[in-house]
Amino acid sequence: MKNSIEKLVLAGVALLAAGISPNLYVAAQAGYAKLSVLAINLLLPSIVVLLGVLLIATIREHHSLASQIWRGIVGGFLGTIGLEIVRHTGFVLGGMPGEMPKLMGVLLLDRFALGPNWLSNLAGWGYHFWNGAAFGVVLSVLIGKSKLWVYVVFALLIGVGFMVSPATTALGVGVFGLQFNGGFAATVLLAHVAFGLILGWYLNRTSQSLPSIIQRIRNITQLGAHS
Amino acid sequence: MEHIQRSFTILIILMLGTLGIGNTVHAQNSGLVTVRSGQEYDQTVESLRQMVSKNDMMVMSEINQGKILSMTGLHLKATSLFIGNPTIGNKLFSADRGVGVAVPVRVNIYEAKDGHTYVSYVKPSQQLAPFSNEQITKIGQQLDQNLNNLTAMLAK
Repeated sequence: MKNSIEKLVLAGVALLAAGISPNLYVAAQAGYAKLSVLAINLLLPSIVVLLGVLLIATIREHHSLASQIWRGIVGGFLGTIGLEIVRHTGFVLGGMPGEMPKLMGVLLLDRFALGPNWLSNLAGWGYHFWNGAAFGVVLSVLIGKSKLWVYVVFALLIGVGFMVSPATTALGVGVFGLQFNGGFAATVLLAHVAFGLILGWYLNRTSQSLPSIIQRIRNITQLGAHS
Repeated sequence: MEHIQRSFTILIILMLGTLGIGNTVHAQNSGLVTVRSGQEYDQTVESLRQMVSKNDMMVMSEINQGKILSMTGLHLKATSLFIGNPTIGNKLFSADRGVGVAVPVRVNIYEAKDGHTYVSYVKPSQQLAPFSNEQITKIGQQLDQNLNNLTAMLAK
């Protein structure tokens, strides 16, 4: 019982820590603070916390949780490669208004006025891929092992959230990028389908079972009823 | 009739002459001054920085418009330098706190489609004119002169 509660708490902390990174870019574009400031005050601590949870879960032999976090990171990273192939193709074909990872990089290093360089590009791509890994952890911990379409639906929700958030509207393309062209929404949705498919495929292929957060809560309530 | 045509032709030639066929491309009533540089883009930016310094001013900030736009897939060479100095700033802001809309002065350097590099700015006197303040007007005219000197050196 105590062991299950500990796992649930750690899973909750992992969810919170992983959820921070993708929201920072949105918060910055909404004008709450500069991304460079948020990166130091929230992004770096959230990465430390997430890796800390992974370490504790490993030491405390909570293998299923450690596996969920680790596989979420790897699956999210792989999913982002798929997302990037679609996004970059969309950009080349005129479906996207700009190179978002490069934009993230100049905002992260607070050098928008000077434009991108190799270091800001590295930072931007790193942040972009970490966001993918963070979403991988969120979906892995939240829904565990599930059918492929479940990951795709969640990934599409992320894409829709992106398109109605300041992350999109701050680009001057309107909600869903409708003021830009139809290619924007198509690119974003297809890119997130690719992300969901790859993440889901990876989690299903590499894991026997990964409990969802609901299953973890249910386990505790059942154990509580039996004791 | 022939006399009228000849007079008209002379008038056109005189008008073209006053517009200038030199390196100053535009200097209309809008206050926009555009000067063709005698150097390549990168050299022009570098030279301007050095000349700003030699003329008792400094580059307070800059925007690399070309690099920023490269993120949208548009590739061009364009930089805006914001130039001024603390003494001028002190005098202007002492006269009117609202002058920040016009200073530091923005100078734009860009490579046009014709392959030439141009330096352009809106005359500070024009930007400062709405303040209707004698001291500000005087400084604006002085800044016009400074910028004219700077860009004239680039045009050589």
